[in-house]
Amino acid sequence: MKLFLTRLFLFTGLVIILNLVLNLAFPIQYKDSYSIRKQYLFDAHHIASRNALFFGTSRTRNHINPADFDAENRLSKCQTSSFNMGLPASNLAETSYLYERFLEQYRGLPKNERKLRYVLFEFHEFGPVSLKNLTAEKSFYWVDFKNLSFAVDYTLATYLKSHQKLQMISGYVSSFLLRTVGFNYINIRHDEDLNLRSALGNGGRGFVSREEAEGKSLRVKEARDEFLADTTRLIKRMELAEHDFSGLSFSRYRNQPNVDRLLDLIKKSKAQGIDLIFVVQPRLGDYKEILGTLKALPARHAIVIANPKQYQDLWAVRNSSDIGHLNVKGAKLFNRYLSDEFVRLVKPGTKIQ
Amino acid sequence: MLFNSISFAIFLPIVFFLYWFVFNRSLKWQNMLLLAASYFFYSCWDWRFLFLLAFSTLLDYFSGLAIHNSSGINKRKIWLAISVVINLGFLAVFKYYNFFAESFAAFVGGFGFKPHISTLSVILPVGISFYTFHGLSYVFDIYNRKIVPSTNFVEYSLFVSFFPLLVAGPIERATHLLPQMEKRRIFRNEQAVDGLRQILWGLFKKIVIADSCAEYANMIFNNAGSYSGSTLALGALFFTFQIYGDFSGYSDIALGVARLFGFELLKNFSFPYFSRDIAEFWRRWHISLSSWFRDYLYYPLGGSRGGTWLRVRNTFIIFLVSGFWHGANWTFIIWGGLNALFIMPSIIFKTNRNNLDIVAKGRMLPTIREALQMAVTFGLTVFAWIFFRAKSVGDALSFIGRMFTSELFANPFSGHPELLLSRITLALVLVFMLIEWNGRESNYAIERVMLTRKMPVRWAFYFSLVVLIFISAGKEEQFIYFQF
Repeated sequence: MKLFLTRLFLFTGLVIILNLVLNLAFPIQYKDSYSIRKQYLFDAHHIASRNALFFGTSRTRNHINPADFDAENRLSKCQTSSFNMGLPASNLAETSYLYERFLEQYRGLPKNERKLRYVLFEFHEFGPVSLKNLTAEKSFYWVDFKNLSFAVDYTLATYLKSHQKLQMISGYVSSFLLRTVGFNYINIRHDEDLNLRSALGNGGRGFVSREEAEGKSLRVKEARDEFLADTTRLIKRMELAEHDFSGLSFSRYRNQPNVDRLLDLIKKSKAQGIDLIFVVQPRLGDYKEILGTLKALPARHAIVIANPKQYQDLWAVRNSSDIGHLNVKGAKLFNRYLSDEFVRLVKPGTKIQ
Repeated sequence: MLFNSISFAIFLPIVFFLYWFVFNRSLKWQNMLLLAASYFFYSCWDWRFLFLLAFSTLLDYFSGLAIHNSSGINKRKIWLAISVVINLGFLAVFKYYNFFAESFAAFVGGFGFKPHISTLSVILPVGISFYTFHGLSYVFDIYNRKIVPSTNFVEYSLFVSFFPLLVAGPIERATHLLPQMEKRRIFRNEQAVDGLRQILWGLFKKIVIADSCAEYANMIFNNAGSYSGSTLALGALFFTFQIYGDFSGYSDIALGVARLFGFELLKNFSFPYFSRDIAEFWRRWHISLSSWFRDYLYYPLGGSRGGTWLRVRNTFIIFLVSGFWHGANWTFIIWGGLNALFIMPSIIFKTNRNNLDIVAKGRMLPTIREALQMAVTFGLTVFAWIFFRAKSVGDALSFIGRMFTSELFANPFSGHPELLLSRITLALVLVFMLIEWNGRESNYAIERVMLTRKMPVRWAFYFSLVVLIFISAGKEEQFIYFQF
């Protein structure tokens, strides 16, 4: 047994050390179907002409049409030239990580190219990594030590039950290990989505409606079919949201590590002359922590378009693609509401703190 | 919990540690631990299935005792019948009810009737076909007085539910495994190292070969209408290696894991794609199932003792039943029937036991005759797999119809840029088959590879396999045989 275990540990140890060294020498190159989109979008050079950007998940990608948003703003005499950088299947820490990388690039641009004024950052969930996706690069490429620490601090501060916390922490520790000592230096995967037009949507500004996405992804169609087979799930989700918006003790659900990180993002953005605005979208499964945390941020950095009582049509089946996403009709409405709130927030005389 | 999952990678070392370091003082406690681990392993699919597993175990345990303790032949027969009927009844309900109901509706529909048949929306309990056959072999062996029943319920339960073989075999025999449950296991370094090597090779087969082939097999089979002759043949070829890598890979992992705990399971695969005729193929493919049907169906039906006609009839019966065992679909039955047809010449001319040894034993290369025999057998196997993979008989026939055209000899990649990268997979398959050829006289291909080389060389080889496994492992793919 001693010989067996010694050799087993020795072999495993050598593999780990070799991988650690090689991963340091050749940092992870994240490649998947969205990599073209990410590489293009997060390359700060091409956004030189824009003054507003959207960061977030598939909700941002599928709901916010920069053309509609700019047009609505123009009606209110607010000039924006925006671009959508939403990435599907992201979580809050991943979006923050990408935004920080983006800011690093942006800082390096010549001053005359730095025209960005507003970043509308989707404030969404930070959940566990599902076991099914644990080994997917998408789940771990961003889990460096800083993000692991954040994930642990965040998890310890959530209102979740102990076993859920344990699941979350073990998931992120595994992700960190996979990133650090996995075989990431050998990447023979190919890009499935080599078409830039397809990656950026028909309008070429990053917006891809659910209807457009359905033509490219079987999963989007399956999600719609599943939703249409039982639309009562949306009603249940809406009831939960209504409950979250009414009568909550927000301070109980505040997540202080998240508050600190978001405040840090505001500060870093401000240093680049960017006003960072957090946007809460409809159709989320749980608003308790989002609202609790948002209350701890300066009010002028938040737009909430999610309350079912206030935005009933954004929770209507007719405006839905699936339980978590609006169809193109719903997205149009959302852009109008977003523009209204945005203009109200940034109109002359209203100073963003 | 799949063998190729992170959760299993956590589960296995924990059980290993407890087994050899905490519960190692007592055989009883070691068996209890393995039983608890096996039930936990099974509950990871759906805890409700545990009741079915426990009931099946209780049924066969007490049936076995009742058969053994009954004095008259009639009583023994009654207890055997009870066990067989209930076991097969579960299979019939969970696996075949919908098939029978729909087939009946289609049949009477042909006469103008429209019966109101209700189907069951039940999930097929994973591994039910395997553990049912475990239990049945136990009661059959007691009935045939080959063994005496176990009086230790924990040992018997462990025999039925031992986690490495619980969900996809090998289908063990009580005569082989139960004595191992009853004996104290001693850790042997060579056995454990060999087990790890077999696990590594099994993971390579599953993740690098089967899952890579699955990507292209699925692409081609799911869009068969968009492809022509040679591309469809390529799809069938990919599926041929997918199912081999998948199932034999699973078996290798199961055997390797069992070795880590000091058990030797039945060999399930022995290089079937190097067979020179279909009879040899079936002695090398899913050996534990083939031998189960041989012992408990073919021999009781008379086996090959009668005339030619009886042999032909019995062969057809076991192949059709074997096909049906794989799934409630006519495609599996036709697949079984096709194999029966392919084996018929050797049954009729009594040449089915001509090729008992592995091909080209002691030689590097086969003779031209052997190479031709292997090519023909392989071709027939690939053809039969089309029915196994297709969703319906209609799909299979349409696939075959489109395949056998003048396009069969065209470049399969031409006009299909989505298949260009499949050439990497084909190259991997080629390397894989060369390794298999090189190791065909062993229990598994890399059993003796590099054993005489120095440790750094050997470890470099294992490391390269580990690298290939990790870079191929994008997501967990279910093993095909879990559905049976």
